[in-house]
Amino acid sequence: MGVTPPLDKPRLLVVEDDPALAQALALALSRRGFNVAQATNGRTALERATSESFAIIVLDLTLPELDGFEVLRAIRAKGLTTPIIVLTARSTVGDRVQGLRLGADDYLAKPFDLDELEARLHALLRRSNPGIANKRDFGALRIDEAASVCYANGEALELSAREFTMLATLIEKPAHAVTRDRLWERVFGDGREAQPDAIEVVAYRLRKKIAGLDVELVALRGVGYLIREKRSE
Amino acid sequence: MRVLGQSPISIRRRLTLWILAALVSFLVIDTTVIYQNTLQSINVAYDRTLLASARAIGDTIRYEDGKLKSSLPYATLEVFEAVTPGRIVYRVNDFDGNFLTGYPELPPHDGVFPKRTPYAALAAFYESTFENEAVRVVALLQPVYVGTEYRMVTVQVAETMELRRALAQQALISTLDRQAIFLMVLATLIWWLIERGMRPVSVLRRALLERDPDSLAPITTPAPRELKPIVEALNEVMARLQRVLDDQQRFVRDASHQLRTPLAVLKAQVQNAQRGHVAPQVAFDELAISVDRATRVANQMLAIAKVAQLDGTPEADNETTDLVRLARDIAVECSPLIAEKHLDFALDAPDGQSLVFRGHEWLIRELFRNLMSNAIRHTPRGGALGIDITPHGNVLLMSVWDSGSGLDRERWSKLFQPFSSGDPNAGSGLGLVICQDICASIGARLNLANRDLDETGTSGLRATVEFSQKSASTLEDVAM
Repeated sequence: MGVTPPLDKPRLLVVEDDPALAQALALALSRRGFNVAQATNGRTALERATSESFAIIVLDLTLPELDGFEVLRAIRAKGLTTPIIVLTARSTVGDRVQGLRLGADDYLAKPFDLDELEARLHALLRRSNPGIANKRDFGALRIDEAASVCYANGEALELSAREFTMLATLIEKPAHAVTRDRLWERVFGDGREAQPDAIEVVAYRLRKKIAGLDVELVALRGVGYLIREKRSE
Repeated sequence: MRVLGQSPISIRRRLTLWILAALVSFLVIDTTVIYQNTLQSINVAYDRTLLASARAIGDTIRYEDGKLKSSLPYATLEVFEAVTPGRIVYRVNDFDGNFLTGYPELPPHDGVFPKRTPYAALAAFYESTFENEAVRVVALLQPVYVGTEYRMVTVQVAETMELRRALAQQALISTLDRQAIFLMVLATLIWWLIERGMRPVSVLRRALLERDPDSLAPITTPAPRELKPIVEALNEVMARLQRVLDDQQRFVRDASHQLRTPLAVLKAQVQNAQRGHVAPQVAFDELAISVDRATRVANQMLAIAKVAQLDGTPEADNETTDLVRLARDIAVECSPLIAEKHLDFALDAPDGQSLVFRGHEWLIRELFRNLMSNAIRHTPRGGALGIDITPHGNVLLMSVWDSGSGLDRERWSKLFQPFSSGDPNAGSGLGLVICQDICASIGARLNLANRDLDETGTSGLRATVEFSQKSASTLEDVAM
């Protein structure tokens, strides 16, 4: 069930009834390193999802014959744990909540960015199969989570465990802010002895250590931090 | 149409039924009283005759040779019986109350004699039974001279009640006849009067039915004072509908224009690219911009529809929103754009305090998402922007500031008109309309002001939302 050998391309089932969007998705995702199978209605989707093995199912909610919610419910009712990412033009909060409650793992509103979709797919793959994607690149940085080592231009950076955790957490979502609270949780766990501004201290040291590279640590004051590539001007 | 309570019964039928019910109860009481009075009159009249018979019998009693003697001629009784269809019986008791003569089956009188009677005699009238028949009885104390003094014998005369009953019944029937006719005449009259009184309702109804089904013009049919509030309420509803319809029509017109424009641009750009008029990379960049623009317009129009849908729902009124957490969420959500433009963002909120506002979270989130998106769009690359939250007495101020060019005089006037954005590359101009709709819906106020020049020499715009105490019912300090 859904277990893909690390060297194979991850196999996706894309369920989308609009032929143009289905074709565009299939093309984009296969070029981005996925093995794409398709279904254009709810019934076929349910059949394929239960009889074949997929790494992830990409499911549109508005489908002919069997509504996306129904497909979702049926798949989960059969005990399948294949990660499912829901695509929908219905972007209301209620739909999102219902989708997640019925067992969707992620949710993306149409129209969406293909890069965003790819990032979410990789995140799901990592979550469901932690063995495969523990090496991530961002700019000059390469994070090897299994070995807890970060390389800058191929050379290992000297980072403390806390600095490494902070960097790894930020690189999970490049150019996307992570709140201080979340960083605190990841970096200090339930370490109650840490000072409230301890996260700022870690950030300060980390910033100095990556200072010469093409990436930089940015503070959103009062919110958190993000990592981004430097301006290339 | 169910207007009056749960039951759809007509007012006319209801009024008629109530009035008739009241009338019938009145007539029943009236008839009972009349019957009682008639019965009493009959009794008084015939009791007199009964008393006369008792007297006649009493006069025949003598005390001779130490014995009481009655010399009642049978003719007397026959005379009595001749005037009544019933039977007449009598009984005389001696001084000690023992049976002297007459019919012993008639029970002796055992009551007291009233001190005052309408007749010049010591007589009591009562009802009793004789041979299983109801009888009216008079008991008379008759003085008899026994040589030295008068002593009393009791004379009872009983009469069966056929005559009295027949008379009473006859009176009752004639009363009932009269009452029935009275009732029928009144019922017809009431029905007709109510019908007449209700005529304005049917006039109004006909006027409403004959209207053009699409017309939302006010109703001008003259209405009596009682119907005026209804007519006014109807007119108000229709005026409101008309406004909504007008707004909707204008919106659809503007929206279709706004959606079609980027689509037309897209089409032209695609054709240019196909013919090789522009370099592919340039064409793709242009296409991406057009697609983003169409997406934004579509999203904003859906947001407007959703704001209208949520307005006034209990769901929207009962939710509370933590503004500091919300501001942080929005900053995280917008962080990719902030990172991309290399902007310098700061959230400034009171430390360790959660500021709670009563209002639907989606609405407030949409409000600040729009304000943030405006701020990001107008701030030049590398510029500064931020969100400030300050409790200010009973008011909570939450503002989004940027370091863009601010607003010039010309743009102020068109600020809240849909699709009036001055800059074709900027938004559709729907963003601020949405913000204002939301503020109106949650009872907050939106102020826009150009910022003063700061130390770096840039100004920009500050959009402040004022959550007043009336709506911000809870400003709680929560230890974090």
